[in-house]
Amino acid sequence: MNLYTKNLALLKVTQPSLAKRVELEPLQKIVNVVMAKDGNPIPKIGSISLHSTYNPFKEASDSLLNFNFNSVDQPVIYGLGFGYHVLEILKRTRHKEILVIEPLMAIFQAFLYSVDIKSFVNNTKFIVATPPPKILASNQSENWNVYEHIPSIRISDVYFKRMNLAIKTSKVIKKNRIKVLIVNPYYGGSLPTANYCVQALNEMGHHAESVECEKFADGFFAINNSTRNKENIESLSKQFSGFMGQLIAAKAADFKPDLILALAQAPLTPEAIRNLKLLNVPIAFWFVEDFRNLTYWKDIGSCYDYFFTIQRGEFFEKLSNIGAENHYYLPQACLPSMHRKIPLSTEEMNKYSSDVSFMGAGYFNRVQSFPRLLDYDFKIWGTEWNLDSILGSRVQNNNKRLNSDNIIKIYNAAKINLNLHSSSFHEGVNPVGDFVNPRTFEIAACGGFQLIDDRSELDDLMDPIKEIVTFSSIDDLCEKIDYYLNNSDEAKVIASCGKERVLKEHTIQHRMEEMLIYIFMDNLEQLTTRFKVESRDPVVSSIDYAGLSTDLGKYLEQFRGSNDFSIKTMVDKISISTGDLSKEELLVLMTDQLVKTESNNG
Amino acid sequence: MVKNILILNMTRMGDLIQTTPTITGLRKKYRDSNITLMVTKDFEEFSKNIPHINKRVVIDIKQFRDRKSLNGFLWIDLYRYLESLLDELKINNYDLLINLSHSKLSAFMISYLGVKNVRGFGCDSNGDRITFDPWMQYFGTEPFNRRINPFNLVEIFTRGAGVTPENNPIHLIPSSIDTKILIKKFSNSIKEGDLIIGMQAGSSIEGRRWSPKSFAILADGLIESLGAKLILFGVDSEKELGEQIVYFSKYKDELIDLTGRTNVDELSSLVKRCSYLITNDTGTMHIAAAVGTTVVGLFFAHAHPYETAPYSPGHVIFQARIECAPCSYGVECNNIVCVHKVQPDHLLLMIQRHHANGVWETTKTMSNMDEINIFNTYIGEDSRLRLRSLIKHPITLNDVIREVYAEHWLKSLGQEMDRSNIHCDIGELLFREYDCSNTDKLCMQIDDKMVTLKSLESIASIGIKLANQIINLCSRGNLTKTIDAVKILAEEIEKLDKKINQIGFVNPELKSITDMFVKRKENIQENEPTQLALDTKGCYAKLLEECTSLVSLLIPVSNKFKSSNIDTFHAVVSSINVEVPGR
Repeated sequence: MNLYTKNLALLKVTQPSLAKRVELEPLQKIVNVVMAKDGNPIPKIGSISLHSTYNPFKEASDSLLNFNFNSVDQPVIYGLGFGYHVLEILKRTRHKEILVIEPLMAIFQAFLYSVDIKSFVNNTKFIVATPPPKILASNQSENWNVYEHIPSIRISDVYFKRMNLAIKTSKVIKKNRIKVLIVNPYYGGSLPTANYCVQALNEMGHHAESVECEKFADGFFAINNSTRNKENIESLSKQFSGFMGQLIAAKAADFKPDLILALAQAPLTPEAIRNLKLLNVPIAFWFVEDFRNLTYWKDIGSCYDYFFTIQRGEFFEKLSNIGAENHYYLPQACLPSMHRKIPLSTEEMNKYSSDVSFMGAGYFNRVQSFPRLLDYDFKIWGTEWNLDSILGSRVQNNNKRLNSDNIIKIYNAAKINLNLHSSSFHEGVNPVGDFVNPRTFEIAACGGFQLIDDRSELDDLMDPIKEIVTFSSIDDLCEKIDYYLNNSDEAKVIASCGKERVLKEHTIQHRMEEMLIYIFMDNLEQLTTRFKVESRDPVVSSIDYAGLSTDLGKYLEQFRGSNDFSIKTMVDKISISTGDLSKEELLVLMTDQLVKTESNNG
Repeated sequence: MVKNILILNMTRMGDLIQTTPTITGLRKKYRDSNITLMVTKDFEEFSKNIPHINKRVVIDIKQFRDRKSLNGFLWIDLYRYLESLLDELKINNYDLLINLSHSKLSAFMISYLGVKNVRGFGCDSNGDRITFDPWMQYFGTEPFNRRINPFNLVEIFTRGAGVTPENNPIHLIPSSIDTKILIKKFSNSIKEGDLIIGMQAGSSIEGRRWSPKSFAILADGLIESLGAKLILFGVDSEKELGEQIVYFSKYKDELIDLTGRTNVDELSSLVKRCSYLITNDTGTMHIAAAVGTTVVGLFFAHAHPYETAPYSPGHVIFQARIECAPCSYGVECNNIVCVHKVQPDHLLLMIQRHHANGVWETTKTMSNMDEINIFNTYIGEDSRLRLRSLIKHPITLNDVIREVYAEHWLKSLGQEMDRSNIHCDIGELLFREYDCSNTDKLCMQIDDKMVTLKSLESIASIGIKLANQIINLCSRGNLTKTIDAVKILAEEIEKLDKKINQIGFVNPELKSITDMFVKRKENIQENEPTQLALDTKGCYAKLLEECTSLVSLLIPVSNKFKSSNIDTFHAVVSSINVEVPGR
């Protein structure tokens, strides 16, 4: 077995996703491996050697003379090279894990070919060719102790500059409250995602609000029934969309966000987006759909400043072709405050539990394949099922829409959650399915065990052996159902590992943080200026203005973290409090009266 | 011993003038005390004309108006300003505070200042509304019972401050300006001995204004018949009104338009020089009354002579007598008819007569009088400033109730002056001032109200019993054992209160009584059950007392009307008039 194969096998154990990526990535011959005078291999790109051509170990040791090792801060190494400096750091650090950030997959591949990674793998996490925002969203950077491998910095200057900018941006975002306006769709699968985004952002300490377009859904759909004339329907729909654009603009003008994020199928026409741009804030779109099924991205993709997708590869090429250059891969996720393990009563267990459960809509491939499962204790939950079909009797909720609470109970109660991605034309599994649906993360976060059809993007997100189990066909599915019904302990362990992974890396909070860093890396100056100008946290600014040590400053402390702080916030609090009014409260009430009188007098 | 008095009067010019009897009364009552008056910046200059004040404190919010926004940090600046102002006031340790501002701001200020002896609108330590002094409590109910209120606001404020309005007229410190020089400054056409008449066509609320055309027609009539010299007064924003009057007048060059041209001192001096001031209900009207100029007042829209008539005798007031007059505060009429009911001729004829013989009376040539009221202010037998109706309109229930309330509230709410020698025969007065020829229906209405008052008495008695039961239960000691019984009784009391409130709404003539009951209950601050029950009992006892008092006042009035009806009947059916067979 050659070194590369041995290394890959090791990597598959410690970092299977990375191992898969390495395997799939074609080998790039940009790295030359030469021997140093002491016989150790060193990589060379063009004329730049990434280590000393004499004694790379000594060079590494010398370079660490001034590096401050402590047990608190985590060593993070910019640039791998062939890892001589990494080994030196591993020798000296007490930290249990160090991070090595290497922008170039070619270097890492060459490293695997040339260096035995046995000494590295237990305590090193390699982060290879990963966008800085993703790195920062998945790793706590507050206590990073960065070592810069100078030759690697020279080779990937742009990348590491972006890395530092991302760190700076992340700090600003964590320290301040960003205002985000989420534009919801009228209906559909992305509506829950839109709501989760709002919740996640608010839980992170930012201030997010929605434009609740779903409240206008009935009106939108009623247009179709108002006339049979198709041209008129089109005209009316267009006008309705225009109205919605105005509504969204009005909300934005009022809310004054730092960022506008529209979710898939949000009713924003190109014209409406142009209007929103007058607010001079970034406008982003999260396309959480299959680009092959829903093609409206062609009309709007280039209108947005940022276009986030759950698919890449071919989709990225197509987006570039239409001028939507600023695209970024951002998969779906779960919301831990919603998707969680919950205790179920006996009654609930009776209602929701089963050997196999499926929660979702009656798409073609599911209708075709699920009859195979009728021998099992199989429950179906969801909408758009033909209740008169053979599957009808298994549909538990009569096609009625389920709320989040019900869904979480389903995920918690089932022994096996079936997660078959929808397809309108495959009869079972889509052999070239790429993106991963939100259900994947939601089930995992609930601690549920799931069987999921093979998806090409899944390996990057979860370990397909330890953290999640996949099937490639309905036959495969049936075998695995049998296996895991008989090996429930194993299923539990996998579910537990899956939950840990998802909560560590795949929550909506992670996605939002990644999105914010990505967007504001390009807009940091504008953002920080807005914070200074608008005194972003009005309570903090008010305390500063009033004086921290003054009675008023101390009084204002209780309002830290209040959304849209104003005199009204204080008056509202006073009105629900009990007991004698304090001096500060009386003065606030008097000030409020004066402000009102002056406002009334114009 | 009251050494330091603070008066909060952050209101308008007219209100400031109406406060002068209060201040004069306080000065007489507390000769050696320091009186501090708090006013707003707008009236800082004018407040120097208010007599008997030792110190003025100005609350200057104007300084913040020009700043960028009240929603940035400006609120902190405002906060600091208030804090500094009030902390400075606190040092003075006021032992009496009179709040004539009736605003939440003033109520919070009182709480902040922590003055123990307060009269007026305030709040308790929890920020809940509380009204100190029965007259101020009455004032709190007055806006909802305007049509049956007999008291001028001056009277209410003054009594609320614990002093008497009688012998304490409104008064301003005379201006030191030489009026002759001042007149010459504005006009060469006015000579010594000329009859000068002022006109104030503006007012703070547009709906209250008599039309410029009406002023112009009247001005023409006064010039033609009396050779009067007319001066138009008003603030800068009322310039257009002055221009319109000039435009409509036949004697454009003879009108002296001073709108927007005088400061307050000059205004006072010029008004004093006028023999009459024809005016809407404005601050200038009160200046005129204070400086001794006869007022011809025009009261439209919300303006109500019973509340804000110039507080001295000898003035005349015109008002529309229509169903919707006066209208409620806060409404905006889109079809103003009241201003058209009073015609220029009405005023002209009466001013001509008054100028000739010094008496306010209607003339036979006056027409279209069914829909107007004309009042004359005078000092009544009860030493109070009163309104005499110069048109004998048919008497209504409101007229009766209003008159009865005058006597009733003076007894019930307390007043400083010994009135034991004063007796006002209500029935006589009503007969004198109203057309009482047809009072059958009125008698039934009065009887009906007496029945309702009796039922209120019963409810009040039940309330007293329930309160007593609670007191008994609480006095047994172990409240935890009796708490359920107490709760049931409390619920019964709540039901009673709802009934009382409802009676007030169904019988607007009696709403004053029921509102006062509610006001007293609102003022109860106790949490301890026994004391709470005692205070509640007190409220019911007061209600009972007031209902009984009202009935006792209504009975002789009702009897008088009934006996006058009998006399009329007798007159109709005397033997001479009866058809006798064979005669």
